[in-house]
Amino acid sequence: MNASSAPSAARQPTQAPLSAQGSHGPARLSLRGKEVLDETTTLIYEDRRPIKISSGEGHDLRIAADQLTACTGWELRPEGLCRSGVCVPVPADRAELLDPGGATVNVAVLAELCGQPLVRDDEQHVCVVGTSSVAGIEGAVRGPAPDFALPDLEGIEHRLSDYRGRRVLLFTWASW
Amino acid sequence: MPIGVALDAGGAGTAGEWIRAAQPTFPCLIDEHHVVADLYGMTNVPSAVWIDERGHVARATENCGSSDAWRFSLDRDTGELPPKAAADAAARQRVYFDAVRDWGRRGSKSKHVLGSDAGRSGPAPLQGDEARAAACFRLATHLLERGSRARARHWLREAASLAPRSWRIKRELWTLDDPGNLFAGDFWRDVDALGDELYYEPPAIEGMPPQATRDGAQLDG
Repeated sequence: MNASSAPSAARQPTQAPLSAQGSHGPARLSLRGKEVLDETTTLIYEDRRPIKISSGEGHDLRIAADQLTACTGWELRPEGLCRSGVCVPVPADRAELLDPGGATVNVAVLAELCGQPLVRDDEQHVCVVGTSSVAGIEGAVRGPAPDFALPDLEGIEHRLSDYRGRRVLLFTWASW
Repeated sequence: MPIGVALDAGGAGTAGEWIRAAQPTFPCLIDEHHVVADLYGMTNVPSAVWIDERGHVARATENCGSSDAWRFSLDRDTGELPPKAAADAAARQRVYFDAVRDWGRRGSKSKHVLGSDAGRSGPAPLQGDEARAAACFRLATHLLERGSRARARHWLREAASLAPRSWRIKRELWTLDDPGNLFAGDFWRDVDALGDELYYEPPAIEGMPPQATRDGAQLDG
């Protein structure tokens, strides 16, 4: 068996990091009617690729509300934050999560609501939001063997699910 | 079919030479952020999980027949195992890979496919300090990619302190400044501190030799 049996659709080179706000630096946001230029932070949300976002005042991490699902998978619905059939309740006034105009979502508050660890390097302006404890519930909905996508030495991406229909011995090793 | 995953924060730069030398006939993937380890609850290498045709776990994460015999008999200067300990390691791996081959031939009818909920269940999601350690590790690997080694080292230390049982995290930390040294950093200090705790939890497979103990003098010669 060799890698050539993987479906061709999955065999794309790993993509470059994405940007939630284009490639022209920090976005201008209108907060409470006042236009401010925010600092740029690199956000790594769970297993997604790094994106550039605007960090607001204090420890706020704001992304455009219409980018919420693309950047995090979560969708803001009347019943709360929902993803893969699981919904997390959101406080009724939603003031901490959403700015008053509703244009941006504070990812730091989102992480807290969804039970996700958040770590940030203030020197390098990088923030990681780790896996949600809700992910276990989502995993149970999807099935027990979690999927992933990783590159081989040539940079070709393989997904575990590409090999559905085969018995897979998934093993790890390391150079260290 | 086998799918190999290199848990290597150095990415192709550190794993590549091993893959090129081995010339595997199966996919050999590079996991610089240890995503697979987080998903499948792997704290060390080698670890393996069996996944059936439907994409369900047939045997949960376990080591591939390694034992703790090396802890008590390895020559720490040369890195060599005495012949009896090497033979014990080979025997364990043979039992493990015979089981894998049996599963390959017989599928769900193999006696090695575990029927219990525990043996076949999917991995438990990371919680608490382990989830935070995973986030710290991801921050470290990103900073490594950016060339910020000092900050990467800081976050690797943080991850290692949050998840002290994760050898893959501390070994990445220890080899960051001493690549290629299998026993870099505080490796032997932490191995010796294990006491009666196992470094490799033995897989429950029929025919697997009994686990070595600290007084396993029979492995020394």
